[in-house]
Amino acid sequence: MRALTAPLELVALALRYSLAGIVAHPWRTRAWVVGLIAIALVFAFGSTLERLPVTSVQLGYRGTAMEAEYNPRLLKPEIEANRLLPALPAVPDAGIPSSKAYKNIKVLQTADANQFLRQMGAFANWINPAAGCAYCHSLNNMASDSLYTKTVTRRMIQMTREINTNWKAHVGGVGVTCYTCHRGNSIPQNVWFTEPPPGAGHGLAETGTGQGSPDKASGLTTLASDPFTPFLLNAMPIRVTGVSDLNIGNNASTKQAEWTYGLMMHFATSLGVACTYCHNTNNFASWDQGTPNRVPAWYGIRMVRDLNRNYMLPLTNVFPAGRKGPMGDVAKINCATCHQGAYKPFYGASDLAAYPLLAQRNTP
Amino acid sequence: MTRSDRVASVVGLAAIALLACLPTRSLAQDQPAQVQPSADLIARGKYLTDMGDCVACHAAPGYPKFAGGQYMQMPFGDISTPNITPDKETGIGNYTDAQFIRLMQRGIMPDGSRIYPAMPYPWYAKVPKADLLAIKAYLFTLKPVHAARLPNKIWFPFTIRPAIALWDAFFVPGEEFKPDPSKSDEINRGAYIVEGLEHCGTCHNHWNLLGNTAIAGNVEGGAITRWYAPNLRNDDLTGIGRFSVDDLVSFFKYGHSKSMGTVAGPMSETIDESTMKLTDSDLHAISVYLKSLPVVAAYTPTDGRYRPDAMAAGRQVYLSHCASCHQDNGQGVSERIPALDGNGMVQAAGSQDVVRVVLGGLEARGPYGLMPGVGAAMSDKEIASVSNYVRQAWSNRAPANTTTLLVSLLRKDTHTLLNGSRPDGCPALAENDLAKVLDDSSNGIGALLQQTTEANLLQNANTIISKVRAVAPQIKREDLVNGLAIAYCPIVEKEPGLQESQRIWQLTHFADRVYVQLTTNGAY
Ligand code: HEC
Ligand code: HEC
Ligand code: HEC
Repeated sequence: MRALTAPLELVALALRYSLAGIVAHPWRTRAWVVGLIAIALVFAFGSTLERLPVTSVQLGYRGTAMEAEYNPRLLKPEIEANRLLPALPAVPDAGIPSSKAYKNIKVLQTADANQFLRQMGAFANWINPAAGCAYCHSLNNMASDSLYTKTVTRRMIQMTREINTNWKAHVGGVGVTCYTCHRGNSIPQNVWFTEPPPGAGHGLAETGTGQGSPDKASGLTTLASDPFTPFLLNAMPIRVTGVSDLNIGNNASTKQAEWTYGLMMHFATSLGVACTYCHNTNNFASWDQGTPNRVPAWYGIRMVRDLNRNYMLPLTNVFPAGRKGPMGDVAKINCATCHQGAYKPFYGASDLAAYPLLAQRNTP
Repeated sequence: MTRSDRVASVVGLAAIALLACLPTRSLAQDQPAQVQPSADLIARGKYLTDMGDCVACHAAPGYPKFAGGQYMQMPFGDISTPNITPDKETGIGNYTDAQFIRLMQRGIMPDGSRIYPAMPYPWYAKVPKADLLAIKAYLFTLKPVHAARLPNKIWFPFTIRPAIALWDAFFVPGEEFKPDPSKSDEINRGAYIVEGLEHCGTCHNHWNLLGNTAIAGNVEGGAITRWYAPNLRNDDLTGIGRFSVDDLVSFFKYGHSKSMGTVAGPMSETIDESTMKLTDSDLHAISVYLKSLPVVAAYTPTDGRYRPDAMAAGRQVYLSHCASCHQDNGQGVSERIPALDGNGMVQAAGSQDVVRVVLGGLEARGPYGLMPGVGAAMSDKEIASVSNYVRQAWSNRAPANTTTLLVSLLRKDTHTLLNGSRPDGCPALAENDLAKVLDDSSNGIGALLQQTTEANLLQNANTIISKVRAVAPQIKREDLVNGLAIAYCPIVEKEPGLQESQRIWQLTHFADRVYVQLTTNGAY
């Protein structure tokens, strides 16, 4: 995903600055020459044309163009970049629960003491292998809660369990571990923050409604920025097309439509698929004509919303200043947080079975 | 190559041009004057030899002490250190007193050829003859080791020894130390040690290759090969002004002190091999002398010169990779993790030290824990950004001069146990009490270590520690932490199915666990 956005970003920048040049100095030939060269470059490198080969996977009836296209050459590094760590070897039980062996255990208290330590080792590998235990524990006193990261981790364990037990409609039997999102980074590489209100100076061409400035979320299009706050935090309706012929009673605005479109772009880039992975382009809104993939996606939206509201937001005051967004909000989840460019995280590989503590139901 | 190194080599080239044709003096008036040395003389000689830190250079891993065998990096190539045990063939067994003094004070070998100033003779020139003879007397009591010198790897034209005469002609003070009657005895004693045998200026002078002269400067900080030796003048922000004499004494005695944090890099050798062995009163004298020198600031403190958005990016990296240990406020954890706010090596004019510590990690020292080689998991850009951040955050005001280029150059050169990039594999465990414990198969400790994986290391480390404590309670905490890490290294290397990065972190997690277990006695 990074590889895809970096050149696009450059192209968008080039275009923006050359156009700004023309607007600022329309009487200068140099501005036009530079501008035209930039536009030519945009078409040469910025278009989505890519070197062959291409293979397609059929997703619907023959002849309906319901298919997903993949370029095996580009897919290969993606598959390499989405591998699980080897699972830690199993260890024999200690025979006592962790809460008897250690102090101040609040979430994993019923776990066997040895399984508990093994799970701790896995946490270190998954979240911040270099700092290790010290990322969450004070080296002076492992039981102390002096580091905020320990508080966050407790909540994240509960969140992982919540996903694995109550959101099976989305994660199925694959499930998630911390590594699904973290991959050795203390903050997962794909998180989002609420953006400052439009017109706060994003770029030269931005309008007062947040349009006209390339937005990463929507694949660097100039659709209205921040499609996440309305849908993945708040529960604004995503559907903007009317349900009746004359569109009676449909008040959806252009901006809303752009948000919906931006969200859909985010789905596609996060999973490395196109619209037809879920929708039949004959009628986007119709559930009957779409693919079954749309069902877990529908649950996915609800799941992410639930996690952002009930697990991330309550942690807002736990995080220190540098970890929050421009509006002082906590980092939040979207599809890319787990999927990271794959239609299923790790292309469907799972090691949850090796970490049963994370597949247990939360104790109320 | 650092700037001062480069200047030094330019000076060296000029020397060739001027002096390649000059003949070197040959001394004929050497007379053999060997008398049987007294035990007192030998004891004094040993103390002075420690003070001169001869083993820091004249020894190498796998070589007996004083037998040489180390390659020293110089701007013009690598030079090997010779054997200075009294072996007649390969050592200094044939040196007469006069020859020894001439070598130590003038850098001239018995055959009349010049030695490279990698041997700090410009500093030893200040040492009175009687003291040098005491050193010789001690060296001659050592067991002769037969170890021929390794070949030098020096580039032409620096291979022409007479050319080095220019160093003498221009920069060697050429006079033995004379006390300054206007200063206290203690300050004079400190000056004698620092400017003479301890040769602190070889690293801490601005032009550190040139010897102790007005041009070379006097301990106001300088770049050495891939590290930076900070300003030792009494400036509050950019020197040692923040540290009390007691802090300094503790730093020289143990390698750490409450307000100075811990020692790193080549300074740790100076402390372990030399200052640690000096008397408290001499360490006091060194500290008082340094504090009595005229105040010089190493740089003009910068304020807000580093862009705010760069600071914010650096802070992100700091929060991800450093803050959990060194704390958001840079204060560290008392006697566990050193503070970076106000830390001397963080505040030094050059940023090499921070970058090298991040890249290579640091072993445990005294009560302080072990710093993982976190840089192994960070990009050059992240390291540069976090280095500039810590140099400017809190009360620090050092120039934000770390570049990604510097980081990438230092990365190529930083090979430690803790970043897993040693070309020669795992280091050997010294033959000490811990090695004996691990070799003894009756206690089962070695076998348990063999079976330790990431899945059970937290639990095994506990058991290993309590077992070691039971059979060898005398082993010091830091020796256990560092020693067990070394002993665990080949085991992790052999564990199948691990990625390279996993090996590094598994080793670190184990060592960290050992440290925590020892500091908290399992009270958690
Ligand atoms: C900073 C490193 C360093 C330190 C410290 C050091 N030496 Fe040397 N020494 C060298 C090097 C390098 C050479 C070889 C120089 C050359 O061959 O040009 C050398 C050469 C010598 C020689 C000449 C040996 C021969 O082959 O003839 C003697 C003697 C000697 N050192 C004694 C000492 C003594 C005694 C001390 C401690 C008081 C000491 N050195 C401290 C680096 C050091
Ligand atoms: C796991 C905990 C840990 C992490 C993470 C960590 N450090 Fe350290 N650091 C230490 C400890 C412990 C020491 C002291 C080591 C010793 O000498 O015993 C240290 C020493 C240092 C020193 C040398 C200071 C001195 O007085 O010795 C610097 C500089 C430093 N760390 C910078 C950093 C930076 C920058 C980062 C982040 C990129 C970082 N550290 C991450 C634990 C950590
Ligand atoms: C081989 C080079 C070398 C020699 C010789 C050396 N130093 Fe250092 N010194 C360093 C380096 C590099 C550092 C920075 C790393 C650190 O602080 O541990 C340092 C740090 C220090 C510090 C801490 C400075 C601070 O601001 O934290 C003091 C004090 C010091 N040296 C004093 C001395 C004295 C006194 C001598 C002579 C007895 C000496 N050094 C000899 C390389 C050297």
